[in-house]
Amino acid sequence: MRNDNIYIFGYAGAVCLVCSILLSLAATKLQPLQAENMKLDIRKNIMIALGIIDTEARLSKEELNQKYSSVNGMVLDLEGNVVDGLNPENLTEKDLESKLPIFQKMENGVVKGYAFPIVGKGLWSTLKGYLALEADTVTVKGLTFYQHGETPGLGAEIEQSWFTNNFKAKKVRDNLGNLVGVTVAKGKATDSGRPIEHVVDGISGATITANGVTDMFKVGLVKYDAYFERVRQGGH
Amino acid sequence: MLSKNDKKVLTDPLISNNPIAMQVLGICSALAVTTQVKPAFVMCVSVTLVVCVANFLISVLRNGIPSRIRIIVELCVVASLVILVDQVLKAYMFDLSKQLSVFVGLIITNCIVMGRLEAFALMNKPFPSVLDGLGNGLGYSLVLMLVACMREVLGAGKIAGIPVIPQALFDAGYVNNGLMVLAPGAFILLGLYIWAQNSLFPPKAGK
Repeated sequence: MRNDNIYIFGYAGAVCLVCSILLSLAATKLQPLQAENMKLDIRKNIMIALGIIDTEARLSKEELNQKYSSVNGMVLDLEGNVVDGLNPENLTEKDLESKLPIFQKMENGVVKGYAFPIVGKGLWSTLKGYLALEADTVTVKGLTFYQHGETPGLGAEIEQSWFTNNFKAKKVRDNLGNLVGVTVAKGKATDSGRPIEHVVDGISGATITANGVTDMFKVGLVKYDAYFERVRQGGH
Repeated sequence: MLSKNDKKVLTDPLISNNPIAMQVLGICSALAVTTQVKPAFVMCVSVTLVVCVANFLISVLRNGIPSRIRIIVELCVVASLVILVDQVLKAYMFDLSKQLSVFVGLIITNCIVMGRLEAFALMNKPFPSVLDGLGNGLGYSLVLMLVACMREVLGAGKIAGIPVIPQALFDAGYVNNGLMVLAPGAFILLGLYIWAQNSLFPPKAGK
């Protein structure tokens, strides 16, 4: 076997070339499929949060897209005004700095709930999910997480329905109208000493993830507060 | 179909030369993905696939790889394979790939893959190398599934998400063992497994 430098460099170069061609080929060929999967997954999460489909439901692509027709996507600016002519599904990362996507559940022309994306930090990763509020903009309708990298069995339990279902019917505002969000307790919600309508059971071994969830609730709600304030005033 | 030697290559890593219990490789992933059976299973399949294909490719290339950069070449091949697996999972099995998240990428760091390339594929023909990869993949899977089952039953009362511990027991005051879903639970179970195997099938003297 040759072991001189020219051969080694040549060999290394060839290996790199073959590997990179293979990978870029795979990445480009599979990219449209992956993008479609991601879009569909987000639609699915919006609909789970809005209570249109069940968490366990196994629906085909067509069924999902068909059910999605009852969802009305809109884009808001930071002051809560509706921006016309934009599709919330096509917003880029840069757009999201100044635009807020929101999704309404429509039933016979009446708004039955609002879903919007929430983002926060867990222990290892960025948590991304959708929070849905009832038409009164105060009661939680549903919650989903579609992206996270938390520890399976611990932090990753946040995406399980036993955890997200606890949020349903919780209130994000207190009786005085102050925005309080929903807090994930350390341990049992009943032992936290807070009003039970603003707190849910925690997950043992996942305190930092849970704190992230508490924070992302607040941050997300504050962002959309201007819009919801208008809704409560009777606008839109 | 298989010669006696091939059979030995395939079956040895299952018990008597198990990569986790005997070679003590791949412990990190054995801790990380074994809290539940489902992700552990997909991890097993992925690792087995990667170790088989990597063994095959390196064995084919073994006479051309300059020995001074062999580790880099091995790493390059393994990393490419893992990214390929990740991309394919994302395109065709999206739900599954979401469940595994970062762990697919972490196959690159699984010492079993590199270990088998160094110890076997570099010195053997492609066919036995594939068998060696398969054997080691299955040996790894065996221990992983065993640990995952124990951890999920003791830690969450379920197997693959299906409750196995009757509700009556919980009503009577039984509580899931939280330690089992944490890393120490895996250490304890793995330790017990290695001990049990060493006493039941003691390694041959002088090996």
